[in-house]
Amino acid sequence: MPAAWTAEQVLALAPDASSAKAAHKQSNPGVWSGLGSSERALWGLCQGSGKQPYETVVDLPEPAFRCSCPSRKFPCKHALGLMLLWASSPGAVAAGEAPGWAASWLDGRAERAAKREAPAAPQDPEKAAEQAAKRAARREQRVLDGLAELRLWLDDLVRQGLAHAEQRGRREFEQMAARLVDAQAPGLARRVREMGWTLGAGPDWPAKLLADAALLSLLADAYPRHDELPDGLRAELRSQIGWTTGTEELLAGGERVRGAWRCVGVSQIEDENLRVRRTWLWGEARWALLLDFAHPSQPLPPAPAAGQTLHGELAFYPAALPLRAQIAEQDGDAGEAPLPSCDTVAGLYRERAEALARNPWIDRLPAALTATPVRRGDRWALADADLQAIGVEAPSATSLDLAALAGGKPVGVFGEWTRGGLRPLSAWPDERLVAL
Amino acid sequence: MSLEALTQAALLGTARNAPPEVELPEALATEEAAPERRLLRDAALLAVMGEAGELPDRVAALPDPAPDESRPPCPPAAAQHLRAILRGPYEDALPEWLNALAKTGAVVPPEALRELLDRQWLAPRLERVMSERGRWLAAQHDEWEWAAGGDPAERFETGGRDVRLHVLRTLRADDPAAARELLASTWGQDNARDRETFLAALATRLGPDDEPFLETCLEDRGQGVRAQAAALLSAIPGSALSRRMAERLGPLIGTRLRTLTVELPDEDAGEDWMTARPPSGMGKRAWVLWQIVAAAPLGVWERVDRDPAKLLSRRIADGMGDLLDSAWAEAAARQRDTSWATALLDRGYAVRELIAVAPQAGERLLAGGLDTGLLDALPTPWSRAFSETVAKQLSGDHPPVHLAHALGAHGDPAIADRLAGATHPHVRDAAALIAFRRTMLSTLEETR
Repeated sequence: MPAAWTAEQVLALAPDASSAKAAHKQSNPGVWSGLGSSERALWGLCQGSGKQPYETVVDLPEPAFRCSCPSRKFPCKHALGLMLLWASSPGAVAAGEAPGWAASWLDGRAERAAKREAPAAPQDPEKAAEQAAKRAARREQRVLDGLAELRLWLDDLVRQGLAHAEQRGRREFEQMAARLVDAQAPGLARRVREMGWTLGAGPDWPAKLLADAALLSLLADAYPRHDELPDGLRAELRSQIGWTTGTEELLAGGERVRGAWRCVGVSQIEDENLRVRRTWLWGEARWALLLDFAHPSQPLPPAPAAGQTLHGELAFYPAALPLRAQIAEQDGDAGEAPLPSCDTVAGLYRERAEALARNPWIDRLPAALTATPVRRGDRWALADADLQAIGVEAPSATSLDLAALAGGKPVGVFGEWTRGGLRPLSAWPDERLVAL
Repeated sequence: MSLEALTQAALLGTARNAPPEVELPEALATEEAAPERRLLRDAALLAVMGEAGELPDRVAALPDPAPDESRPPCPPAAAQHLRAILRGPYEDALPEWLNALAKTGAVVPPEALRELLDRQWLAPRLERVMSERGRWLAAQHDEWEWAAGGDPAERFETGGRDVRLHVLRTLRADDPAAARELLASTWGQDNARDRETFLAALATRLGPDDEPFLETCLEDRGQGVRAQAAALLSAIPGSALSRRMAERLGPLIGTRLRTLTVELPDEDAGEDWMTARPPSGMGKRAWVLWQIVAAAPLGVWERVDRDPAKLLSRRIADGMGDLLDSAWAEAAARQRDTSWATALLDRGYAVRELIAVAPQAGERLLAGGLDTGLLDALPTPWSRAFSETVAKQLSGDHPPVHLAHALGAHGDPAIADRLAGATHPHVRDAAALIAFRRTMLSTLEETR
């Protein structure tokens, strides 16, 4: 039986707050019948407002869900409610034989998983490879052309001066960004667009804009020579341009690491176009980042919740500083993986210096440290035993929760460290991890 | 050489001004000829070097840690329920949860402190389960001043109005005499509004020891304070004021066969603390009578009937019925007289304060015609019988949403199974809430 879930971990799966609330109501045993479980799954019939009850199945290891209700949210409140019920009263979902409607879905999943492990051979391997190579070559040329244009544009920006650019406004930045999108370099386009937003924003904008332009210029100079560079840096440049590594390519070529991975924190950002979720794992003495994207109306693929342990193999995307990974394979092992080893503040600054040496464009680092929250006016900082501190960049609710958990004593804290400061995602005052 | 100088040059543009020379280690020396290229390259190097070379911030000192807890922590299962209450659809269960936690002697979990401290309207209940950690945290944030611990006397002297009231109420529940003395200590400097508000706090654990102070309040400059003091004195059995009222009232009461007669007193038969101007529609002497009846011990009426139910069933002469009902209700509420409150409620006299004094009679009255406006006067949880009555009312096609919600939030959790099979969404919500309350209460019961 896989390690039982806690209610907190189940609720972390909810796509939004109203789903979490609805899930509680659906965890009332009174609306469920035909409940059962196996080693890998839960199932039940949920009485909704219609005549026929909804058939709900949960495949636990991932987890994956199936429900016959018409809800567009994923996972739906019935699936969440079933998991909540199981988390709080496992006895109510006794072991048994899966009924037909649940078994057929579960078996289908098992079949498809087996198929993925042995991918079908392509029709004509030579032809397919040739076509792929042609596409890549075309794209490469477009990117190089786009970079040449960017090179000239940056030179012009500096010749005419940033003050001049501020007067002319953001529009030229947007136009350059659009041309980079056409050149199939979306990563660069994003940078140029963000530079446009820096124009005139805040008292330090000229220094920020210059630094951004300078790093972009570095990219523009380095990319045409990327074949000459070491593997890690080459991969980094390609990813900064916006080349994505396909899943097959990754699973075939990326570094594989097997072990027990503790999820230490999850952050989720949403704007009107996109939802991005970063899931941070610690295992085998290193960090891993699972990155998931979805359109706001679509479900995000399943990933571990803060505190959970994932047993299996990760495939790391090639990079100057390998961090981003995908789950290649999951084991059914149980058992909690250890919490990250915590650094001092000085140690974290040293790590950042080393990271920058390997990848000057890095803008977000995982940071685990043992520190005490210290309040300085409106802002908070995390100070270690040597009285050195990192500034906290987070909503006041997060900082207050952290202060309450710490009680003026040092605690283990994990967060994302960017130029603005550290954003705490979780803390462990004792051995128990609390998501913030 | 700093990024600042390069930034200045970049602002102006290299077309007009040559960028400054930047001295760099030999390994990083560049052959770039064009000034804009040189500037960008130097800027990139300095930016990355600057960030990599950044030194950590320092703090002067670490904060004083929170004191250790002297009371047991909240059980983890109960903490999960609290999270469901604060983040889920069960917020109505929060006051009940806090009460149940208080009975176990435990304190609230640290991760819930911020959300609980923000709910100042629950201050009296939160006070009983506040942890040392919570007080420590509250002391550092002005908006949570009410929860910061400390010497009550000092806080009462220097705090804002909200804090003072909270401190006084909390102290009064613990040590009534100390609270009264604290109130007396600033009495002279407080304004009339504060005096009136704070005086009301003495209603908790009221006793004969409060009489001397309250007697001095009968001569206060503020009319509201005088009236408040008189109301409190009339609730202390055997107080001088209540004896005087009994003496005045006695001679006015009579019977003519089965009819109750009450004479009007003289216009000047009142006392200084009474309001002179009657409410509109009432004569001056009638108003004096009302105030006397409201302040006199209900025992005076025993000379007519020992049982208030019998008394209330009598005919009342001269159309005084309404006036007397109103005054009796006031007296019963102040004196917390269960048998009078019961008798009045049984005769259909529906008043919130009486329901609080005699909940059983209140339930009987409300069951007869469910006026949802008064349901919240009943203490939570309702009796099992009343809960069943309300549950029956919800079995139709259009169960009233407020009734369903009230049952979910205040009904006896023992009837939870009765609602389990409900189909209407309002009732299903109520069923979920009451089932949750049952679970949360049994978890806390287990840890007592």
